Amino acid sequence: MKATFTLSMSWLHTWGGLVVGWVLFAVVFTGTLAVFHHEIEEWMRPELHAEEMSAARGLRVAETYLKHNAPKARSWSIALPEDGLVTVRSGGGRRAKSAVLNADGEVVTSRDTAGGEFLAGLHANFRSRGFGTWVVIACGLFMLGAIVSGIVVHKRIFRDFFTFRPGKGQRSWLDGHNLVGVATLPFQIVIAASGVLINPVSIMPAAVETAFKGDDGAYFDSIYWGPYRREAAHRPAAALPLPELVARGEALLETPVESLQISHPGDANSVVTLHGDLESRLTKMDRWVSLDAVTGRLLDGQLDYSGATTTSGVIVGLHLGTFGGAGVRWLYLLLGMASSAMVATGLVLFIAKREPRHAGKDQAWFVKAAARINVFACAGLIVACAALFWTNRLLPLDLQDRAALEGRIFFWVWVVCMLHAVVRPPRRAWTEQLAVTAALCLALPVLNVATTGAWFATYAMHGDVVRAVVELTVMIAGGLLGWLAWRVGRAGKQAPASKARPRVAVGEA
Amino acid sequence: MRASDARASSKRSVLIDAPVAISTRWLAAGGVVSRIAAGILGGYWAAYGTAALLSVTLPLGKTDATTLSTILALPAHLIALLWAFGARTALRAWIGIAGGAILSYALAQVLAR
Amino acid sequence: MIVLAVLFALSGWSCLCFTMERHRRVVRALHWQRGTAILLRAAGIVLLVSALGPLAAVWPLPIAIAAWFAVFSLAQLLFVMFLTYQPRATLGLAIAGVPIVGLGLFLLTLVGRIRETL
Repeated sequence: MKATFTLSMSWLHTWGGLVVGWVLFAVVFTGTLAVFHHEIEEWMRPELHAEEMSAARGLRVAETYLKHNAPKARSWSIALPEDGLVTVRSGGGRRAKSAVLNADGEVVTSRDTAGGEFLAGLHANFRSRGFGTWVVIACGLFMLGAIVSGIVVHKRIFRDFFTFRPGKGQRSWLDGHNLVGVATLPFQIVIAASGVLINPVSIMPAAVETAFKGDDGAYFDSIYWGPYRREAAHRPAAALPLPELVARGEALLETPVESLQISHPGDANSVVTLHGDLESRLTKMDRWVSLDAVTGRLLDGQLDYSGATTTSGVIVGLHLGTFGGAGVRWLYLLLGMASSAMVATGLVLFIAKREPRHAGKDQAWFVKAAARINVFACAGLIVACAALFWTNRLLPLDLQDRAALEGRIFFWVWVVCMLHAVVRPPRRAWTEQLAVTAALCLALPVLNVATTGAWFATYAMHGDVVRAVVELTVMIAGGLLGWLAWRVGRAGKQAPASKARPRVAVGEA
Repeated sequence: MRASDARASSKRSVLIDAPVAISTRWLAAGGVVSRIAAGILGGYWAAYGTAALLSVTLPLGKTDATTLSTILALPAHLIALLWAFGARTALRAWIGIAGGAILSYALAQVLAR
Repeated sequence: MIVLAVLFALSGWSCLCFTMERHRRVVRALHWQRGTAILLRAAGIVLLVSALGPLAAVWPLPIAIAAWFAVFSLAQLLFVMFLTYQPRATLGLAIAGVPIVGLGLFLLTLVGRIRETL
């Protein structure tokens, strides 16, 4: 009976892993890139540079702009300066208008680009809110199933903990897959589970339906009841200066203020709501206080949340990985790359096991197809991601719907890779696609200089650390991919020799 | 390698090779499609019922119980998914999963009154 | 600080690794008694756990714990790469556990002193 359970878990791991793996690679890889989507977006918007702006200056600049441009708006919102820029918004809902201001109070615009948000959107739901979300959630669920079944099947998990034997064909792929899989185990379990549970009620409404009789609004309002609202008094009154209100808010929140909203600005009943810093916290629940704008009196607020709500907040926080600053983000990036490698090595392992065995038999069509799908599911996606950096710089700036076009080109590049993978033998396809990606990545500074006149050395000299590091990282990635392409190509030339001695699948998994 | 290991690994390799059901005791005992349906679809129903039941039985306030039971639906689905493939026959898997789903959901509706 | 934590974890893994016979053979034919193996295992675990130290010095505890999991995962990957391609170096990592801990404690007191002056 025990052998049957292991067999069935092995089947689930292999086939569930294979089918889901093709989509899962995209989710994991884009997710890994999305850890730094903010920084990538900054690189993709080279027009946005500004000197550091203090909070006080930012508030002054924002208030001046809003008083001048939207004096009668029902609400204003100001996000405190980040990277030397302050974002303001007036009005609400569909008619909200927003602007990004620099320290001189001028509106700053940047190119219409898909940016890092594109990658984050791909990761979350393949940019389709309904169907895409379900696909990604399903991938996450299967990933957890693959993890558990993988652990069940991997009997010698402790004995093989430090084992890696390169250059031995299928054995090495298995070792590699096990190594990256086991090493990143805590990370993967946390990320997969927290990813599925990022917005649990939307995919599992059962509890709300039963306990709240389907009243979503009542449920969400009982957790978070948003900024304090009250009607305008329709008589003007001078509000306390914003810096003073922010200081009061910080004292109450015991953290720096991240953003604020002002309802009925200039009115006697104006309310200022201050939101505490969220990005560097592990629990992603908004802590806020609402103060009377004229007297500074505390009207309402939420500083603590219940254990269950905090748990759901921690789940989101663990997934986003913004809590520890750059250090933790880099850890997430490296572990995310390792997880992508786990998915990719698993897919390649499937082929590596079957190729020698099935040469010439009926089942070969399936193995041949799977080998090709592997190429464009993995390498093809990476090519498309690299292409995103190129279209960001190459497309003319005044194009209509430029961002949407960048997105479309991304998919067309992926389609071209698919066609390439179908037409070429798998090994050559791998080498060629990896080589193309490497070329795109390594040539990035050249492209950058040609289109914007700056490259990572320029950025470094001007103290623009973020852009310099993004470009450098892409180049290093390009170097690694180039090395990989070379290794795959070289192994391909040796393959005919090793095929003469087919390996029997003995041992684990 | 012992004889039993050799038999096990040959059974395993035959199993892994087959994209369609072939004559091994495990696959013949259920049918792959049935298990997949039980794991994915049945699993979702089981998770649904679990969340519903927990939301009215957890000894917490209404809001917290709802939040936690929604979160706990995930491990329920995962267990159902593994059970669908680990059970001896697909029929057993279906009985367990669908049965659990129906029972928990019904009980939840009764308790919610 | 993260780098320091990674170093802790690396030497920790190294110690644990060398409690295993098959890996000792790679480096040298050393005869290690049972007692040494137990000591190594204990040292390895202590080093891994103490990797939490440098992290807790800069972050609140929940964040430090989350980062700690990430650190020892990363260290395991790095360590196996070392073991596969430069096995001699890994023995050095185990022995280096002692000075690394010393360095770590020193840096931590530095951080503490800097914190007080701020």
